[in-house]
This record gives sequence, structure tokens and C-alpha cells, in this order.
Amino acid sequence: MSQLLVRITGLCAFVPKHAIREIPKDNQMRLLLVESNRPSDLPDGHAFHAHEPHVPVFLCPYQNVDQDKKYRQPDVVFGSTAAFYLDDQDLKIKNAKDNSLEVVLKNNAGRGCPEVDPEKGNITSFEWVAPLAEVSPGSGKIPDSCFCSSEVDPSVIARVELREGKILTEHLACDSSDRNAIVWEYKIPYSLKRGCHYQVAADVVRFEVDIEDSVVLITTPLRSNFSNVRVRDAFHPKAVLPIRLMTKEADIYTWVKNMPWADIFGTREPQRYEDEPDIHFSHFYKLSSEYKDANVPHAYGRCPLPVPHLGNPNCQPARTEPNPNA
Amino acid sequence: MADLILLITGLCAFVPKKDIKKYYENNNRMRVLLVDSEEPADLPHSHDPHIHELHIPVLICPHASVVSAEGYREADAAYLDRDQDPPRLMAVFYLDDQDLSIESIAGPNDYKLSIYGKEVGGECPNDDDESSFFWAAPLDKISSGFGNVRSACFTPSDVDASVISRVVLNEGEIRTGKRATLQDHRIIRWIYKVLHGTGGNRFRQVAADIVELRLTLPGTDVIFKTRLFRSESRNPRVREVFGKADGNPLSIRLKDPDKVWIKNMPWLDILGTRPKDAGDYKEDLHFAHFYKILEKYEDVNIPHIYQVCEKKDPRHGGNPNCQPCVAAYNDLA
Repeated sequence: MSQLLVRITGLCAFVPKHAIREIPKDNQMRLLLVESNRPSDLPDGHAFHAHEPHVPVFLCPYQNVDQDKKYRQPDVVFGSTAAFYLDDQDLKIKNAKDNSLEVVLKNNAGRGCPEVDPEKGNITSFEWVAPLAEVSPGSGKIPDSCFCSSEVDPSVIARVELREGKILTEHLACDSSDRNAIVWEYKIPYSLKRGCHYQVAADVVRFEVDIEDSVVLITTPLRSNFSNVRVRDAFHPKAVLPIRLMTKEADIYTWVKNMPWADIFGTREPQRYEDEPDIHFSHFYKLSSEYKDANVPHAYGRCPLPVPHLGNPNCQPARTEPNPNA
Repeated sequence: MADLILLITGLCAFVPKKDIKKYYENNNRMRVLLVDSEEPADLPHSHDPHIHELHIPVLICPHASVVSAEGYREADAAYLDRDQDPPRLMAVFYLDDQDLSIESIAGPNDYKLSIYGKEVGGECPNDDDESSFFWAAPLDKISSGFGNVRSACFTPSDVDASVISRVVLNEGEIRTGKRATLQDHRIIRWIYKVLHGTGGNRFRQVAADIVELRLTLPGTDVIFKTRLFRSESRNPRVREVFGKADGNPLSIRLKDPDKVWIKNMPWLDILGTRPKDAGDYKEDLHFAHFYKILEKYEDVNIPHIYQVCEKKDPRHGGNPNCQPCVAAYNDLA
């Protein structure tokens, strides 16, 4: 038995079907990758920070991709990594069982500093993922239009179904030294007023599921108009494109990212947001049914935490209130 | 013999060594300066959103033409170009903080570059001048006599921060590959003025959005030499590639490459994922980055669509392109 491990980072919002504290074991989630082409709701003068297009992609080792032409082939290859565009698509694991997701939860996570000893610590708790409902009270509710089977709300650029397996925090957002987790203050960009929520935040979430010698991922369009020309070409005239990954008798480490190409390719130094707020976070509010302030993370303090850096610039995802359609 | 067609588009400024009106036959040389886009251009702040999309300096060629052998660079990335029929796998090489030159018959200090075509006017083009190099937008006319590039852009090392990459062209013939058009292929006549400015007797011209170098080389292989011109590249991948070679120059060897591209544009345009109808901008804000390389300038004049000619340029560039420019000739080039 091998595992498919999917690391998730960038403009990605986790929507559980049920409240995670009430039903931590037989849950499921829909991952909403947020659109970034349109400006987010920011005060005048700061809007320019938010405009770098984020690209939704699935990344995996090229050697694991089944190159049989009946399966979807990578759109881009760099180093040993294959990239598949996810614009305007649903991604799901074929034959995944419904309501079979375990959400890893530990005590005292989601507030203050994590416990330093990893053995007894709580650094893997899913609750380190920034909760929109607390980051900006009232913003945690996601409209049903984000869960339609077609013509999905334009705030969503891609979706991933997480139905069977386990989900946990893989990595906490750290400073440049990689030794200190940052405590974030969520507030209106550059505001001198105190924020309404403080926490250490996950910047990489891990989803893992057991697989046999291969796994098939299904990609389907979630709207009729494609914003990516290459995706439009690939789906014409097909309605479903499967990606087959072969285990080669080992676990398969993959990524779902929604971030600028320069960060996906790793061609620029990571923006760690130690000195500047993470303005891109404001795109999440496009998903919200309603919200008061477009609060974004500002680095506020540090917690000592020896965690390894994952080798790529990451930015923090968010989680929302449950939605039965997720 | 290998016939190389090198297509150049995006934030690329051509700096001739000598006056191209006088030295156009086998006796000139150019330095192409690929302009940095990481720092904001000199535009009113409220318009910055459009200017901030990062442009990436790259060499693109058919992946099948890349010779994989010890001592030569491997592609940094590859993508399937569906604009070609059949779709073709293309290789991408990062050019950040590097000088690129073509290993050719001419020595590095020879001036054997020819300039194709005659001077063009400000009106819509005629049939007989479609490939003239003079369609490339002249910065000194656009910026009222301020087309001189700062000497720090030509130093052998620690080059001015406004330059992200450089290409030497000292042999072959340079011409317009394509003129900027609307999506329906009608040629655009541009007016160069401050953003949304009104009035004034501003410079107007049809503009090349792809410049083309044609070159015949001995043998079947084309070798591009790349060397770092900064002690440390801003691109971590470039640092890794040159770090393995202890910082020494590296070559890219291509076999029968057909067409090779030099681009300095956003990833979405390099990969061709942005819908083409998104490209019919009324003005080209990114042009403002060119002013970073000038000794001085008064107004940041940028291209605005002024008129659409009835004449079409049906040549398909394969990707959204943005217009390069020509700076004043400079002996340092």
C-alpha cells in the first residue's frame, strides 16, 4: 500500500461539510481555489499589490505520470516536476469514498504558539489553518453558488474534492530563519488599529490517502467559458480528462498550488511577508457571502519552532464555516 | 549550413552601436537590453496595478532541438505549444542576469549586422516596406530626443539594475517580424503620449511587436553562450545552474532549431494561457519600463491606439506580443 500525499498552499479555502470539532472523522471537504484576476477589495493605493495573477496547478513528479495518451499529459514540465493547469476545473480522486475524511485535530491549536516538542505537540492540527470566521467576523459563510455543478461562482477558479483520507497541517508560516513561526495579526492592510485575531498559521496543508499501485485523478470543467486558452484547447471536445499516477512502489508527493508562476517555478526569492502584509489574502473575501473588513495577515510576533522549510515560497490558505454542499 | 531565425518580443530595447540610417549593410552591431520589470515603472500610482506583472526573460526553442550533452545547459522548463500544428514541445531557458550571444563566424568584436529596409513614416504602411526594421518604435522620437541609454547598462559586470538580461547581435540581418495588430490582424497606428494624455503634436507610428534576426551559420548546430553579468542572480534557479559550473559561462546547443524566441513578458503570455482577446489594450502601460534605462527623460510617453489601418498583418506570432523599442545608437553597445 502506498499513499498519495497532496500538499496544498496559496489562495485555497477549505470548506468542510460538517463542523470539524463535531465530526472530525467522517467528514469531507471541498477546496476552493480563489480567482485572482480581478482586483480584491482593498483600500485605494494598495490595490496594486494584489494584482499578480495566481495560477491554479496540480504538480507531481513527472516520473509518476502515466504517459499513455489516453490519460492527460502535463501542460508544463520543469526539473523533474510535471504541472497540470487547473483553471476552471474540478479535480477529484476517482472512486473516493464519501464522508471518509479524517481531520487531524489536537488540543490548544489555532491560538497562541504551538507546543515546541513535535512528539507531543500540536503543530499538525488542521486548526492552524486561518479561520475566515475569526479573521474577519461574518466572512466565514460561503454561498451555494460556489458549489454548483456547473457555471460556478466566478470567485472560484478551481475546486478539489477531499472525501477520503486524512488532512492536517504540514507546515507553519515561518520567518526567513525558518526557526520561528510567525504570529499573525489580521487587520485592514497597514491599519494602525489593533487586529481582531492573532494566530500562528499553516502555510502548507497536507492531504493523504491510501492508494494501490496507481491512482486516477479526474478533471472536469466547472464552467463553459475557460479563462485559460490551453485548458479550453485540452477539453475540446472532451468533457473529462483523467490523470493517472503510478506509484512505482513508493508514496507519491504532489502539490496543489494557487500562486504566481514565479513562485511555482521558484524563480524568485520567497516573499515571506515579514515586513509587508500578505495583501493577496484579501482575495479570499470574494468567496464570502458577506464580510465587514478585508482583514489580511500582518507579521506580529514570533514563536520558537524548529520546522524544516519546504523549499518553496508558500502563502497561507484559509478555512471557512461548514457547508453541506461541500 | 544552419539558418537561424531569432524572434525577439516584449520589453526589449535595441541599442545599435552606430547610426542605423548610415550603417545598415554588414557593418553594425546591436545590444538588446531586456528591461527589468520587478521595480515599478514611472507611472502615476493609481495605474500601477497594470504595470506590476512580472516579465520573465527567456529563450524558447523546440525541445527536440536541444542537444543534451555534458557541458551544455539543459532546459529549465518545457511546455506544449498548442498554437503550432501539430502542438510542439518547447524548451525554456531562463536568461535572468545573463549576457547571451550567438557563436558565429563573426568574432565578438566584429560589426557585421545588417539593418533591413528603409525609413518609414508615420502613416499606415505600404506593401513594399512591411519588414523594415524601422517599424521598431524609436525611443528618441517617442521621448522628444531623450533616447540615450545610460552607460551603466553596458558594463561587463554588475550591470545597471534596470537591465535584467542582454543579447549581442553582431551578424546577420535584422528586420521587423510582425507589426502590432488587433486580434483581427488589422495593423495599429500608435500615438505615444503620457498615460491618457490629451492634445499635443505627439509622435505616431505603426510599431513592430516582433523583431527578427536572420542568420546563416556553418554546420547544423547553433550555440548560444550565456554568462552571468551579476555576481549573484536574482533568480534562484539561475544561481543553481551557474553554481554547478562555478559561475563559468554556459552554452546552449541546438540542432536545426528552426525558430528561436527571446521574450521578456509575463509567464501567462510566454505559456500562451491568457486569452488573446485580453490583448487588445487601448494602451501599452508596460512600455513605461523602458524609461528606466535612459539617461534622462521628460514625459513617460507610452503607446495608445490612435488609429487602425485597413491593412492587415496576417503573420501569426503565436502569443500575445508587446512592442520592443530602439534606443539612440551608442558606441558602448
